[in-house]
Amino acid sequence: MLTIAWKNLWSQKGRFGFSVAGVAVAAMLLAFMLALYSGWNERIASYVQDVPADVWVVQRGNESFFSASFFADAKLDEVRKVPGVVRVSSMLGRSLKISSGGTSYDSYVLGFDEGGIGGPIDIAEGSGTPGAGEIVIDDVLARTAGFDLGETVTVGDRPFHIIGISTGGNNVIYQLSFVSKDEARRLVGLDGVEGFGLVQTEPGRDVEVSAAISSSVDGVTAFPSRTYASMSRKVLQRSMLPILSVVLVLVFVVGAVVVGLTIYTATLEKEREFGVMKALGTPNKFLAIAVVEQSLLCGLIGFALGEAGVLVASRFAERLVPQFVTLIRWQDAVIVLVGVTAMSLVAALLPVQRVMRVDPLVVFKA
Amino acid sequence: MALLRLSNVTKTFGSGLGQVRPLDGVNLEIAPREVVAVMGPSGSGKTTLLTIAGALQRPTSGVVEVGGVEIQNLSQTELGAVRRRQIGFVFQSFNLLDALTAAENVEYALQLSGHNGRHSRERARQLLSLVDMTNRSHELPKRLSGGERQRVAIARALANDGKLILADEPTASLDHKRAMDLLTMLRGITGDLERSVLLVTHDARAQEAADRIFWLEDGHLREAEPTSSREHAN
Repeated sequence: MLTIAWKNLWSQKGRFGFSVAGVAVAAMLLAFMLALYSGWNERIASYVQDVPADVWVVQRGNESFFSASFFADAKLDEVRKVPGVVRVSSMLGRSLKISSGGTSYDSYVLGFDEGGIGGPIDIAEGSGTPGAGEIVIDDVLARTAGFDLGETVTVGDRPFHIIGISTGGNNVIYQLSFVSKDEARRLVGLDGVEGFGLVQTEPGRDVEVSAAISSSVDGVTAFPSRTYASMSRKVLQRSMLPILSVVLVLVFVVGAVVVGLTIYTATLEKEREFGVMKALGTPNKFLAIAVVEQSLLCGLIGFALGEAGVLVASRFAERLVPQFVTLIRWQDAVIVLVGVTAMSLVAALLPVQRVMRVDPLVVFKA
Repeated sequence: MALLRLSNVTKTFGSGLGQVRPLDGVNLEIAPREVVAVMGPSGSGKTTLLTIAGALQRPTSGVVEVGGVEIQNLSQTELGAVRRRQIGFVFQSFNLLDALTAAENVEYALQLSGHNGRHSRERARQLLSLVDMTNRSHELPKRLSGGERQRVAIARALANDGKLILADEPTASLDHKRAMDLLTMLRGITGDLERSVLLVTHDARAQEAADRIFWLEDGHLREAEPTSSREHAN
């Protein structure tokens, strides 16, 4: 039966190519959306995870790294007294425009304690310890904006000299830039406040210490680092998953329609041959299998081309647009394969019904 | 025992004033190795007779036996099995599967009747050799002439192990020489491969190949005089 399915498809190469291309585009879109989602999901809270803090302390009510967090700096003294706390640092920041040559770019500018727990994750070029009037820029922002080491940019209304290019600060929504804590206070315009407390605990005590801080220090909440990262990811999931779902459904429908039309047209064209096969005694289930096989062949070849396409496209996309973060996982490929298989099976429904209704007496018509 | 027996077979289409009865109390028996031709004008019900004998549709009334088994009450699935295992078809317009080569068309019928893999390839080669199509076995139908296609169709009709071949106007699309070659081939099959042939045609040349000839007109089937009697009469 596979031979007949394949030969029927191959006998109309143009239509077969059109169908495979349709599935390939649908599979590529599916794979691309999933790769984008996986990439964003991985990147969006990577800074929270990569900073060597066991516990994040934030303003009560704050539920993610992307929400505003301010609390009195005196709260950190109370945090230091909580049993199990080994070391405490802090960061303070806000979203600001970084401008150069009349063009502005959004960045979250964070001030950190020199020698403390926060700051850039890795330094690609230059220094990672900015002083007065100095700033470290994330490499994705540097590539997007064309900022170079040694260049002067305007943050808020003040000039800053770029002394370092860091990595690990691209969380998709924006890129992180780093200044000294004193500069951050000036940029935020508030004295005596902190944004995020970064706590290192005795080994294995992060959950217990978080609970103790939350209950004993008024006005702040503490979360184990992985919990805070997970909460931050939910921001993406809440906003992107519904959009992604709609796109996936649309892609599924378009793919199924493309394959369905092709197989249905092929079935109509081959109706007499299906009649011949019936007249020769071919059981209906074998004819149905032949039609489903045609649909699956289109689907699987389209899937292979689509996955290959997304591997190439994602690489080029990241080069062209540095913020374009994709992550291609085998689990997502399996999801696309399942989707394409389902798409092919749905596409085969009408053609199978049509074949079932073919009258073998058609063979006697001249 | 008759290979095919139709007893008092009637087929009606429609109802009331629009009712048509192409077969009305038809009786016919075909013995092993016999070639029977059913002739008649266009629209006389020849094809309807063939479709009922070929388990493609049921009669309105009457009994149809293929290989000694009554088939008029079988389900569509069971009728399909009868066609697959016991009947070979040769059609006016050949009806080969366009996407398959000549050999694959024959192999397809072999696989339907239960032959598989290497055995079906070898058997297809033998059958194509029998109809002198070995050299064209890897061609697609569109590259074959009408006569060649009909020979492939005969090889396909021989693929199952059934003894009955039903041919619907097999010479209609062929020129005189090819038509005569084909009829000779059909005649030869009955002896060499122990098959019986029911030939439905309005081609007078078919009389040459037939053991018995029937005329179908107004739904009634009547046997014509043997060829030799007719020749003497003339």
